[in-house]
Amino acid sequence: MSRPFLFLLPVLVLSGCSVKDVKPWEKEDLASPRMQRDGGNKLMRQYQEHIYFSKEGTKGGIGVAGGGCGCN
Amino acid sequence: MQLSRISFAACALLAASLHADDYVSVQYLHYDEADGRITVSAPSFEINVDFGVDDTLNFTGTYDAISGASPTYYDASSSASGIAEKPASPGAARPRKAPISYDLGRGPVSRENVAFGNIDISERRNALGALYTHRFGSRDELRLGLNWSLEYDLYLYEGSAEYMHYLDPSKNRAVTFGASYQYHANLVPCGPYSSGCDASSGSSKQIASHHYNLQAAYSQVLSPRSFAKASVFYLPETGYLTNSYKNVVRHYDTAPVIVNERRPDTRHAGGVMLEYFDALTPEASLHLGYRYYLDDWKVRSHTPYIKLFDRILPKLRIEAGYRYYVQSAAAYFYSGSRDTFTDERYASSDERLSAFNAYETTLGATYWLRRDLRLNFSYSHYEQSTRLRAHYIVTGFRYDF
Repeated sequence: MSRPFLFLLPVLVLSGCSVKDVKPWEKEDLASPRMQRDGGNKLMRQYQEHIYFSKEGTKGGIGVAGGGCGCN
Repeated sequence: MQLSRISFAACALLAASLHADDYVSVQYLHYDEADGRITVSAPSFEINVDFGVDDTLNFTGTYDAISGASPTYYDASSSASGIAEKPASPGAARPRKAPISYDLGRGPVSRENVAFGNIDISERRNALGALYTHRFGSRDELRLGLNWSLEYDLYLYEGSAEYMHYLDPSKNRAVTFGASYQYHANLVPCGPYSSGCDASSGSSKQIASHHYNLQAAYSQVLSPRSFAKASVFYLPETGYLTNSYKNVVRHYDTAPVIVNERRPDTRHAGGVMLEYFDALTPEASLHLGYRYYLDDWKVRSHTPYIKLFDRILPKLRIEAGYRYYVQSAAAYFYSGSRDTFTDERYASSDERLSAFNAYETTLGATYWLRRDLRLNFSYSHYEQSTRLRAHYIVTGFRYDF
């Protein structure tokens, strides 16, 4: 099995899941800041990403827009 | 009657979700490593302004003040190199980190003078970021970002674009495609890498590197309380990828010489990120994540994490997090009491390219003084098997206006 396919496998599996059709008025919890990756504190996430980047040999996976931590 | 109730609830939720999210956030990071290594003080700000319901501007800025010491190989007999043996005396004025011509070699070094220890570092970084978000009639989102980061030895410029497209009318499924480009202007001591400038003068030269990030993600709402997201990413890099402040020892058994490390000029990395978010109760939520990374330097890493948020009081939310990290070593990394490189093309003793594992624990709290003003504080402990131990606090406030 090729590596690119291994990367795509979780996406394909997830897209095939049978899930409930959630209506917009049912999404109050989903819209809460506590359901965001940074808990509503973007700067805290930037600090942490910068620390991980500075001390570890790997990176990536957190999106591209906004540039994350501006790490070098 | 039932229909009218549903319509009212939908309108109320819509109104709540469309209210302006205008705020300013000010945060302060204090990071401290054990054994007299790095200390960082970094105040930051964030301003978020909505223009109607379709456009948002977000600005961030950070000022980093870094001081302390970082480990590498050095010539213990040299007092003029700008290298200080660990530990630097407390309170002593630390020299500003300057480009040191490690890669000149400075001739043979006696084996007894080859030492591994900390060199003093003092660095300042100013970083600014801007992010513009536009929502179309379909509520698809376009995000455009710019970043600048300026240091003594590095100028960084970044542009990014990301597009999120909903796949269904209920907006339960979405795909996101993004790309970013970073240009680095690295200040590198003159030497083998920097033809065209005088290596004997100890001067420096700017050498570029280029860093790309391509990412695609699929997110799926699983229930009124949970959703999942899967991302794949590809990170090609070219140019000067070496760390000009890390040294290796070559020919240790014959005529040892301390020179700058050397890494390949290209790196191709990729990986996958899986995330799951669950609102356990109306007040608590759980985040689970896992990232797998691999690159053509033979580095692999696994990063699982868990976070919990719980609003235990009407005005108080606590959070706890645990992150584990494990990576394999780069193919050209050598870890030993002394490096044993001879004429290998690539060589590094940077512990960030070694095989190690790490964990981080975080505890934090957010307290709402008023509906529009909240204070936050968190404490984190980070520890690696390389013996690096650090802790940091983040504290600040957010004001909604």
